[in-house]
Formats: sequence, structure tokens, C-alpha cells
Amino acid sequence: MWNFDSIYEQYSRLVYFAAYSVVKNNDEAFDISQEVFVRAYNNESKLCRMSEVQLKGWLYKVATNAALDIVRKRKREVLYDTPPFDMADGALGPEQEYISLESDTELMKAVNSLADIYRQPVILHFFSGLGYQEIADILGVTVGTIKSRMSRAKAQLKKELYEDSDDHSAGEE
Amino acid sequence: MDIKDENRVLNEIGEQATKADTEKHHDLEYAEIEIRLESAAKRANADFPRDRLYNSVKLEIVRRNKRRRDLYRGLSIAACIMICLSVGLFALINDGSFSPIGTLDPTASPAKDLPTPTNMTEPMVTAGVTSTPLVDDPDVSAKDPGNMVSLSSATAVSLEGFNSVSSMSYSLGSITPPTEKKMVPERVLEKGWRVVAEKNADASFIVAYNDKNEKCYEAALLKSRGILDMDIGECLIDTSDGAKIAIWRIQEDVCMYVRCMGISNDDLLCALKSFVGESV
Repeated sequence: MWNFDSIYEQYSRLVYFAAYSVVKNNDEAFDISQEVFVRAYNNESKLCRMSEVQLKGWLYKVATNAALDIVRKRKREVLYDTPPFDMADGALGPEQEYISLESDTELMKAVNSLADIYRQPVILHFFSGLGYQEIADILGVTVGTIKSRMSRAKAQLKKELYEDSDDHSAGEE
Repeated sequence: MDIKDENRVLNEIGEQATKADTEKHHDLEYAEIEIRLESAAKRANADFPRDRLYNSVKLEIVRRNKRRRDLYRGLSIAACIMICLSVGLFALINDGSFSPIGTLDPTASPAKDLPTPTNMTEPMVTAGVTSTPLVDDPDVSAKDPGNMVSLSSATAVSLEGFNSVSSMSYSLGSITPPTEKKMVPERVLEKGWRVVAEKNADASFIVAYNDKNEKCYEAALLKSRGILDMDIGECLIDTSDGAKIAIWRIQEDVCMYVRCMGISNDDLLCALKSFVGESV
């Protein structure tokens, strides 16, 4: 049996990153997460009876639908993509921290440039910490599809992060 | 092995080594991407403001609950005010100190001062008009457009339930116009008029339809209050929207109000005669 606190404890990251994978903006993803958990609170009795897979599916669906609504409303308004939180590592020195931040920003930019079907599994796997099977359950596809999408996503990220920079540096030479 | 073969073998080895190097390089790049993603995710998760989000969710829930409570409270207060106002207005009207159709100046020309159809729509109505002919004088001709029907025998009009009429209160705003669904008896009158009566909680309406099923006039008995001093059968008004209004005083404090659209005086008089003579 679930209650609101256990749902929040276990799935807050899932909800946040599900929203982030659509809106690609930290503040909006935060607002959407808040809205999703308010709805979860209002539907607590219904959610309590759900299985884990159903619950994850419900939260993911509500989060992505809310995110899509925001994107539709946004239309012409241009919001810059922002990485999730400031992603700064307090344990590093300032110089290292700057390098790491630059690297993360570049990485998130590349991730955000992926098509939806490739970006969602990457974010759900690496950022929400879900396994391939869980992602497949949530997205309603097979594990094989998820693996194939992950592989293509990595290939595109490689191209984006290394080959483009190689071309760029070759161009500079 | 001659030199050509040796070169070919060396080339193959070289190509394989290059291919292996490339694959290894690709694998390394994939591995690096995974490591970068994992470390970025780790930092993002470390920064994930779990408590801040939790607090903001709780705050939002409290805020929405409060807003909902305030809304319910506001609605219930508004409902109470409406009820009080309705009761007050009801009491005033019943008391006779307030007339919803306004007071007319008895010395003024009726055509000039009577309320226009727009503010006399959906008149107040009584129940239980008998079928006793109001006009049984053979001299009164429906084809005489110059004279309104003479109601010299108005006192002969019998109004069943008249006591209840005079004790009824009226409110223009609260009367619901008749609807087709509720209509009860209907009878076809001369010239194709069809009179339909309806009763609802507030009033009784009598509505007439012509042979094209168009609503042509509606008639009602109403307590005359502000128009007590007018002469019997004196008032026939043409309004700007093409309607005709006739008001008769048929008893001490009872008038009949008729409003017709797009018909001639002849037809109006015919309708009035029909209404009075064949009232439902």
C-alpha cells in the first residue's frame, strides 16, 4: 500500500525528470512536478490501490501530459533550455567545478537536442534511475525497442559531442 | 611468398588493426558518454531539491484547500443573501407596497405611459379562469376595429379561484414562460387560433398559436394594481416592435393583459373575444 509520502519519496525524481525530458527547463519541470504531486495527493486513495507499474505509469503520464500542455501553451515564447539544477559539485575546486559544469552543460545540450523517443529513455535511465524493463513498461514498448533507442541515442550523442567538435577543431586548423 | 603477397597481407593486417582501433575508439567514446551521463545524473540527483519540492507541494495543497473553503463560504453567503432578498421582495410585493410592473399615472395617456412590451414581458397570471363568456353582448363585434370590446358586463365575468388570485404575489422576473412540453389542454378557436394553457408553480399562462404554429399572442389575467383607474377596455397600444398590447380592466382590481405580434386590430379583437369567450 502506498501513501502520499512514500510515493513522493520514491518517485519524485521520476516525475521531475519525466517533465524535464519534455520541457527541457528546470523551473518549468519543477512547477510541473509540484502540480503532479498535488494531483497525486488529491487522488491518493486511487493511487494507493495501484501496483508499482501502474503507479509509475500514472505519474509518468500525468507529468508528460502536463509538460506537453505547457509546451503547447508556450508556442512562440522561447525559453532557453537549462540543465537540471545547477549541477555544481561542491566537493570540487572552483576550476574543476567550472570545467565539470561546462562539460555537463554541453552534455545536457546534446541530450536535449535528441529526438523525444531517444531523449526519454536516456533521461529516465540515467537521471531517474530506471531499468530498461521499467522504462519499457512506462512507455508501453518492448525492452528491445528501449535498448535499440538507447544505442541510437548514444550514437547521436557521440556524433554531437565528439565528431562535431572534431569538425569544429579541424575547421579552426 | 612474393613481395606482392607480402604487401597484401600487410595491408590486410593494417586494415584490421585500424578497424579494431576504430571500434575500440568508438567503444571508448560510448563508454565515455555513459560515464559523463552517469556523473551528470549523479550531480543532478545530488542537487535535486527534494525537500523544497515537497514543501512547495504541501504549501500548494494547503493553499488550494483554503481557496476551495473560501469559495464554498462565499457561495453560501451569496445564497443566503439571495434568499433574504427574495423573501424581502416577496413580502413587499405581497404587502402591496411594491409593484413589479410599476405605477402608471392614471391621468396620462395610456398609450404613452403604459409599460412597453419589453418590461411587461411574461406577465403575472392567475389560475382558474372559467369559460364563462366575458363578452356575450351580441353588439360587440370582433370585426369592429374602431372600438375595443365593450365590457359592460364585466362584472358577469366569473373567475374561479379569484380569491386565490388576489392573494397571489407576482414577480415579473420569476415567472417562467410556457414551454411546449408542459402544455395541457388546447382547443382550436375560430380563425385557426389554438389556445394553449399551461400551469407551473408560479402562474398560469394562456398562449395562442396561429395555424402556422406561430405564437401570436399571450394573454394573462393580472392583478391590476397600478392601472386600476383606467376605463374598462380602453387600452390598445401599438408598440415599436410591431406588437399590440391590450389591457382591459375586467373587475375592480383585475386586468387582462394581451400582447400580440404582427396581427391586425381585427385579428386582435378576434383573439380577445376568443380568449375571453373560450378561455381555458
